Amino acid sequence: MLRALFRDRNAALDADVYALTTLTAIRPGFEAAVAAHIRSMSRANSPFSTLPATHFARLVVVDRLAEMPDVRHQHLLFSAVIDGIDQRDRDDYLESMCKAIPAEVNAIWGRGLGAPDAPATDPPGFAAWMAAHELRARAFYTRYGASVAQVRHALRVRSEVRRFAAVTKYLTPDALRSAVAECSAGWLE
Amino acid sequence: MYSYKYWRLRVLLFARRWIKPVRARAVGQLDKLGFIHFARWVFIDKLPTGTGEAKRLRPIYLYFESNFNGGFEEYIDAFSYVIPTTMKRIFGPTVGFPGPKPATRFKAFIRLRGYEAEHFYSAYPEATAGEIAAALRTVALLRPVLTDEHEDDHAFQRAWRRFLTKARL
Repeated sequence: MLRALFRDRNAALDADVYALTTLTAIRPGFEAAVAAHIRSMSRANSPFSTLPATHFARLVVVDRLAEMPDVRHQHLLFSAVIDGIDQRDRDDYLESMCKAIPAEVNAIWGRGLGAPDAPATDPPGFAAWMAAHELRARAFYTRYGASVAQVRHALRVRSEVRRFAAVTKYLTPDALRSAVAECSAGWLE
Repeated sequence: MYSYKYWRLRVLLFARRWIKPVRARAVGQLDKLGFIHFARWVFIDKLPTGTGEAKRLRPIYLYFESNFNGGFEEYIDAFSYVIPTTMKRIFGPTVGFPGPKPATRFKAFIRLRGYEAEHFYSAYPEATAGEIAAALRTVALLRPVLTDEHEDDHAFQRAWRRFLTKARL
């Protein structure tokens, strides 16, 4: 209860991850350019891979709404799961986007209604503008509570231990202990 | 004027955050499905216009996002047949919701209202949610084996084997 009271509404209650969701209107006439730029971004070598706090990121151009055909503008939905627990972490992340992927920030959000033309040149301004367009998650489910670095580390360790266990299966107790001591550097980083 | 189903959903989402047993049950159900990394539910009641004044949306929209491994068909099948009551409670207030069963109709409902991402990124695309949970558990179980004092080599070997069994390696 207390944790829920003090925890940021977009942060998971039981994990240090933050659900970032923003919805911004695209300037009329720039819809196709924004969509084309986003689609041209490599998925295999995504710009978001340069932001180490990103678990998942998604960009969607909302060009229609079911049951409501008269929406005037197209909108850009940006959602990401990032390492973080509060709005300060969110702002740090948004500012780091300006430094790590300025071309994307300018080409995508710089064409948003009400956005400065080159938002990446003003990271705090970009973070504040995005924060003003943030949507609150009413519920956020997380299967696991770990940072991106912890997840990658755990996957590597499990894979290494599996291989190690297979080749040390029949070792005597003293040989096993020596082998573990020799190979386990990095398993608990 | 919203239906009682809408208010029930708001109460449910509120309770999910504030009442621990409700939260544990909801999380347990999704954990049981096993293939979801993260999911979120967001109400959208206004649209930005760029002028500072937002356009009020009526009806309110429910945005549901899920990062999961596997295919769309199996995903919705699991929702339809494993947790149909939860599906009814969540999507019950939405316009045109046909019910969770049969899954074919539910899938058509979602396809019509779903959005394809123009860009999608995952930091660990090769790993399923279950594999990640297992890997994190492996590290947690490994810690005491490597840091605890062991009486002798035989005691270490027993601890190591217990670890392999618990970690399912």
